[in-house]
Amino acid sequence: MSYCFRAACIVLAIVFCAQGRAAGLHASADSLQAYGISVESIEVELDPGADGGQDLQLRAAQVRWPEFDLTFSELHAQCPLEPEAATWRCAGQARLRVAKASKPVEAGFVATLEHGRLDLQLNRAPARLTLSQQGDDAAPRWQVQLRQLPLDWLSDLLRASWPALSRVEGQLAIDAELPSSATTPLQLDYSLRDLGFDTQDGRSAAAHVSLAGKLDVTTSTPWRLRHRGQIGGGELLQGALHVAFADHGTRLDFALAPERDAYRFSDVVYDDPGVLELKASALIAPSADSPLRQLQVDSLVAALPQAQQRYLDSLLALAGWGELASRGRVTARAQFDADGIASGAARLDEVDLDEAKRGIGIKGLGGELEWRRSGTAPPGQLAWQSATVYSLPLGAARTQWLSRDGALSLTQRAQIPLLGGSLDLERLELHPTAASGERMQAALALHGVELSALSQALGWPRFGGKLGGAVPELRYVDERLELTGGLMLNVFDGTLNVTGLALERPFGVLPSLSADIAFDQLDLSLLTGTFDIGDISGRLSGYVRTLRLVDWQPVSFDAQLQALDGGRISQRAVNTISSVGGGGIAAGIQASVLKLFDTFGYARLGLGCRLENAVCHMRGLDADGARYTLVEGRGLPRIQIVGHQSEVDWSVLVERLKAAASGTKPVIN
Amino acid sequence: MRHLRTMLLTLSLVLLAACVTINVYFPAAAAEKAAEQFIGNVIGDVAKDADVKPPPPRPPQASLLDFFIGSAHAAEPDLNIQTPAVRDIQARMKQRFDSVLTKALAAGSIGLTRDGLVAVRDAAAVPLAERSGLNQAVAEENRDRKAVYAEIARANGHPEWEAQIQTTFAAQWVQQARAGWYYQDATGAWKQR
Repeated sequence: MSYCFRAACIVLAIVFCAQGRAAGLHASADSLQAYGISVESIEVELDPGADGGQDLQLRAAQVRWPEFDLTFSELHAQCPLEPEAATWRCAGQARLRVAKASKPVEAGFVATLEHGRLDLQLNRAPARLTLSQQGDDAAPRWQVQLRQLPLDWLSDLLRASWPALSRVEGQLAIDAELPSSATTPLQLDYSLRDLGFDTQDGRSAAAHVSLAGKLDVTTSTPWRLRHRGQIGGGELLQGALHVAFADHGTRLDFALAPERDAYRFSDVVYDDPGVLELKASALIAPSADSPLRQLQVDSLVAALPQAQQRYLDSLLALAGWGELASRGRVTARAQFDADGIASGAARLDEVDLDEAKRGIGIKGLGGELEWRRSGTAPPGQLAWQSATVYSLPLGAARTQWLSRDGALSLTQRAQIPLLGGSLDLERLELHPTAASGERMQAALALHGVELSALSQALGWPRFGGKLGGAVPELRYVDERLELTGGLMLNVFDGTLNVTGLALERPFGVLPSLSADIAFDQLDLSLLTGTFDIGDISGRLSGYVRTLRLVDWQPVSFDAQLQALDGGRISQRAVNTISSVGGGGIAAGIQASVLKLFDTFGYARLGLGCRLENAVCHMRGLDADGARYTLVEGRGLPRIQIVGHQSEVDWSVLVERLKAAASGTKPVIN
Repeated sequence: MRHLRTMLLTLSLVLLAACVTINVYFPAAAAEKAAEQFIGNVIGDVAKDADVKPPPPRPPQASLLDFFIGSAHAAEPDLNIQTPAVRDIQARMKQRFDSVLTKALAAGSIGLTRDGLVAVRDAAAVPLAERSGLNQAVAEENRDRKAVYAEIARANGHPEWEAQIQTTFAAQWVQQARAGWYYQDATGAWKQR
C-alpha cells in the first residue's frame, strides 16, 4: 500500500510539473518511467470546473514497480486547481486498484506547487504520506515521510512472501530521501511500533515489539540491504523459543543479499547489553526443505543467569529443566552446514549450575572445549570446584579433552574426589552426531568411598565401611543408563556386591534404579547396631534380586536374608522379627517368661520377601503351608519365631520396622 | 499341492498361536479397567455425562477369541497401577488437567493423540502470552504420561507391555473425552467428540 501511494504520487508529481508549465491542455502519454517505476497510458485533463476554476484529472491504466513486483491499475485522481500567488494548490481524491479484482483504494490528497517545488500529501486515516521536493531544479531531491501506516494494510503483500502469516498489526513510519539515480543507495529511517503477527499454525508469533532503525537499500542487480537498528520491548515466539525483549537497546544489525536461490545474511550483530552478544552470518534458502544451508556463529557471549532467563528458559522448561539456576559467563562459536553442526567451541568462566530438585549441580566450572566433526581440534580442558550428583558431593577435578574425527574424549583418566574416596573416569567419549545410544561411551571406577559419609549424605543410619567397584562400560539408550560390571562394598565386616545396575529416566520423571545385590558374611551385631532394631550376633548372607526402586522407593525385589551358623538374639530383636512375620512367638514360651531373659541362642535365622504389587510375599527358613519359621532357637530357653502372614502390605511392613527401630512396641494383629 | 496345504496349515496355526499368545499374556481387560480408573480420576467425574457413547462393538473375531481363551482371562493377574510413585504422578496430572489442560482441550487448542499423549493442535487459538506456558504444560504432561505407561509395564514385570498399555490408555483417553474435545483417529487426523 505504501508503494501504491508512493507510485501514485511520483506519477502525479511528474505530471504536475508538466501541467505547471502548460495549463489548460489535454495531454496523454503512452508510458513514463522514473525511479524504476513505469506508468502506462497516462491521460491528464484540465477542464473548467463548476465554480469557474479548473478541474484537474489524471488517469493511468497501469503503474508498475517491477523491482518490488508491484502492479497497480486504474489510477484516477481528481482535484480543483486553486491558483494563488506563485502557488498552485490542488486538494481532492485519488483512487486505484491494488489487484485487478480488488476494490479500488481511495485516499485524499493535497498537492501544492510553490516556486516550482512540489509538496504532495496523501491522507487515508490514520496514515499520512508526504512527498516534498527539495533542492534546486537542476538537482531535485525528494523527501518521503510516512506516518502511522497500519501494517495490516500490507497483509496481502506480506502474505505473498510468507503464506503462513495469518495476522499482522502495528504501525510503520518511514523517513527517506529518494535516490537521484538507481545506483545511489536508498537510505531510510523506519520505525515499527507495536508490531505483532501470528501464523496459521501459531508456531511463529510476536506481540508489542518495537523496532526502529536505518535501512540502506542498493537497488542495483543484485540488490543489497543493510540494516542497523534496535529492538525495544515486546515478545517473540518461534517454535519452542519464547523471548521477551528488553525494553531498551537491543541492537540488531545485518546485511542481506540474494545468493542464487538463497539469501545471505552477513555481519549479523545481535547485542542485548549485559545479557547476550551474538555475531554471526548465515545462508538461508526459504523454499528448501532444510532452509538453513550455512550458519557461522563467530562469537556468542552469554552472561548467566540473565541470558538463560531471557532466551533459554522457554526451551529448558520444555525439557523439564525450568528450575535450573545458573551463573557465570559462556563464550561460544560454532559452524553449521546442511549436515548439521560441523564444529563448536565453548569457553566457560566461573559457571555455576544447580538443579536443587534433582540434587544435581556444579560449581566453579571453567575451561575451554572444542569439537570438530572431522579432523583434530586443539586440546581442551574443563575443571570444576565441586559438583553434586543425586545429592552426593563430588570434589574439585580437572579434565583434559581432545576432539578427533567427531569424538570428544578424555585424554587421560580423571580422578574426582567422592566421599573420602574417588570416582575415576577411566574413559569418556562423546559423539555428538552419532545415533542415539552411541553418543556416549564411558568406563568408570570407584575407589575407597567412605560408607559413613555416603550413608550420612543419603540420610541413612550411619555405618562404616568402604565402597569400590568398576563399571567397564556405561551405555545410555532411550533414557536408560546401563552400567555393566558392578560395585563392591566392604561393609559390616563382610562384602556386598551390586551388579546389573541400570537407571531409567535418570534425570526425568520417576527416575528408577534396578540392581541385583548379593551379600555374604555380614556381621549381624554391627548391622543391627546400626539400624537399631535390637541386637543379633552371627553372620548374615543373602541377596536382593531384581531390586527396583522408583523415585528411590522400592517397588519390587526378591530378597532373602539368612544367618545359618547361629548366634544370639536380644529380646528386642525377637520382637522386631516377630513383628515382621506378623506372627506371635511359638513353641510354648509365654511372653511373661520371655521377659526374664535378655538374649536367646538361635541356630538358624532366615527371612525372605518377594515384593510385588506393593505386597510382600513372606517366607522364612522353611515353609509349611500357612506357617514359616523365621528363627529356630537353640539352647534354653528355646525360642522359635514363626510367621503366619504370608502376604503383608509393604507399607504395613515398613511401618512395623520403623516402629521396631524407634523402640515403640509394634502392633501385631 | 500337499506342500502348499501343509504350509497353509502351519501358517494358520502359527497365526492362531500368535493371536492367542498376545491375548493370553497381555491382560487386556485388566489394562482397560486400570486405564479407565486412572483416567477417570485425572479427567474428573464430569466425563460420565450422557454424552459418553457406548464403546464400539468389538469385531466378531475378537469375541470368538474371547470365548476360546475365556479361562485365560479369568486367570489373568490384575494390572496393578497403584504404586505410590504412579499415584503421585496421577495427582499431578489431575492438578494439571484442572488448571490448564481441561480449558485448552475444551478450546480445541490441544488434542488427544492416537498414541495416548496430548499435542498442541491449534496454537494460534491461544493468546501469545499463554502459548509458551501451554507448550510447557503439554511437554510436562507427556513426560508424565510416558513415565506412567513405562512404569505400569515395569511394575507388572513386563516392560514389553509398554506399547500395549500406551495403546489401551490412548483408547481410554478418547473414550472418556468430553464433548468438544479433539482427538486423533487411527490415521492421525483430528476429530471432535
